[in-house]
Amino acid sequence: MAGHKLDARGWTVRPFRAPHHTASANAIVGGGPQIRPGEISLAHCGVLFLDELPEFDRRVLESLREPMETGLITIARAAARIELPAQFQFIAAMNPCPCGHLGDPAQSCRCSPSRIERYRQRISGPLLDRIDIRIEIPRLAAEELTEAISHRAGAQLAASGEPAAQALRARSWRLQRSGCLSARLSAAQLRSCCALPSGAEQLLRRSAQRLALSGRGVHRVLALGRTIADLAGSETIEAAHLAEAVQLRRALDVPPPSSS
Amino acid sequence: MAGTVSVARVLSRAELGLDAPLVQVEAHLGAGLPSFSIVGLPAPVVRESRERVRAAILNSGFQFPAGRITVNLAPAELLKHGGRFDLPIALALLVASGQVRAAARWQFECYGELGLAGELKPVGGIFLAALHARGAGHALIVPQTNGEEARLSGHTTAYGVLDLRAATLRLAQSDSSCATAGGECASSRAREAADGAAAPVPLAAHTLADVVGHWQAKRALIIAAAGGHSLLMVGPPGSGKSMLAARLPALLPAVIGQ
Repeated sequence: MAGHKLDARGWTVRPFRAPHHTASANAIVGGGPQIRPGEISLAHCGVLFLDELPEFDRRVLESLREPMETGLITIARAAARIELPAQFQFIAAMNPCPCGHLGDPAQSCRCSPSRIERYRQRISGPLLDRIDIRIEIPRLAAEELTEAISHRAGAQLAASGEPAAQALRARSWRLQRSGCLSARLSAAQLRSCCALPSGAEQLLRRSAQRLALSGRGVHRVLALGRTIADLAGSETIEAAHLAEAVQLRRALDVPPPSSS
Repeated sequence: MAGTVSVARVLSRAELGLDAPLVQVEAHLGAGLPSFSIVGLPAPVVRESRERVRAAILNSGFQFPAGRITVNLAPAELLKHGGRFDLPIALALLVASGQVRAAARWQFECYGELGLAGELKPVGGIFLAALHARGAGHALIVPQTNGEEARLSGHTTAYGVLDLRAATLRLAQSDSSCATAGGECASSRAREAADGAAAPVPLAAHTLADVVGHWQAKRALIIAAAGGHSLLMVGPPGSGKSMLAARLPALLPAVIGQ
């Protein structure tokens, strides 16, 4: 809705913005002399995809924290203070290490531990904590690729639009019940709509301890659990749903000092 | 010249984030050596309007007013950007010199960049301006190419015109019938646009069906789509991360309404 050129055909399609990591801070966040909306505002109600996440300027990444929390970005200038919408779905991709091959069965990693550490620290803890799902994408082995190609059932399922229909059902359900998507549920809303049966409660408690989850971490696991339960058509969040939620956050986890 | 007014006013709007504050384009023709100045914090591109407006007026068959011309873009402390003020400035000059009469019935907001031959070129930010104009109850004169954008905002008296001459004809019309030359009839175009908008051409969407394997990632994408969750993928180069990311929009429903 904000901004410059409008393509009428693309009116109802959600925006998918994928700025390159060399884009300027103003281009991504917004600003400049005319206070133009940035990529994050152009991605409002859509997707913001940052490929090669550690390559982005650190300050730009940090300035994403506020809009990810509030869905708004405030751009202050001497003459004016403008608030622009920036409610985007944040998707990012990165290599596990500078050479890209840490944990890769096909190629061994050439990086020293300190190099890996420095690379990972380019994404700050608070930013990482705000990302709900963190998964590893393994390189598909040759046999897996050919086997998957001949796996007709899976391809047909995906082609039939079933995944989109599933997602839409869960979305509508949650919107009806809570007035917003699970990812945007406040702590208070989570408490009221996500009363946990004892088995699930215990699992959450144990996971929180074992993984040293922050308050926000627990909050995010609950929100994920709510989505997974919605996808399964379940009113209550069961232990199985939470177990999957915890697993979805494992990539880049720093193991706590005293691992069990 | 008979019919001159002391100060002519044409309305327009500036861009300020999501706001489109009203700008009054005032033109005053005074006695004195010929000069043409634009005041009201115009950005360089707006100061250049003088050359475009002069050529456009002459090439549209009008006379360029003699004397000391002052154009003011009010309010004074708001910075004015963009090529959109060419048209209101030209129209203000023509009204001030008595060559064009503005119909009293409609309050028009005008936007458009002028080419030297008088043709109107599209400008940005028209959707936002149209939205505010609709709220204020003003009619719109915009470049033809921006017409669709203006009507998408729900504005029903938006007129897309091809050139300065057509804009002056529209400005002088006291009813909403179609102009005889150059202009476009807003109401029939609005109906067309509404039919067109009901069935938008879908842009090619990448779906999960294109992706081989990666079952865990597909599951994660479905969860992300269902709950609006953020997602980070970590993997070696070429593992398919960018491809998977591009598949997310197809899992999301279309945007409705505002």
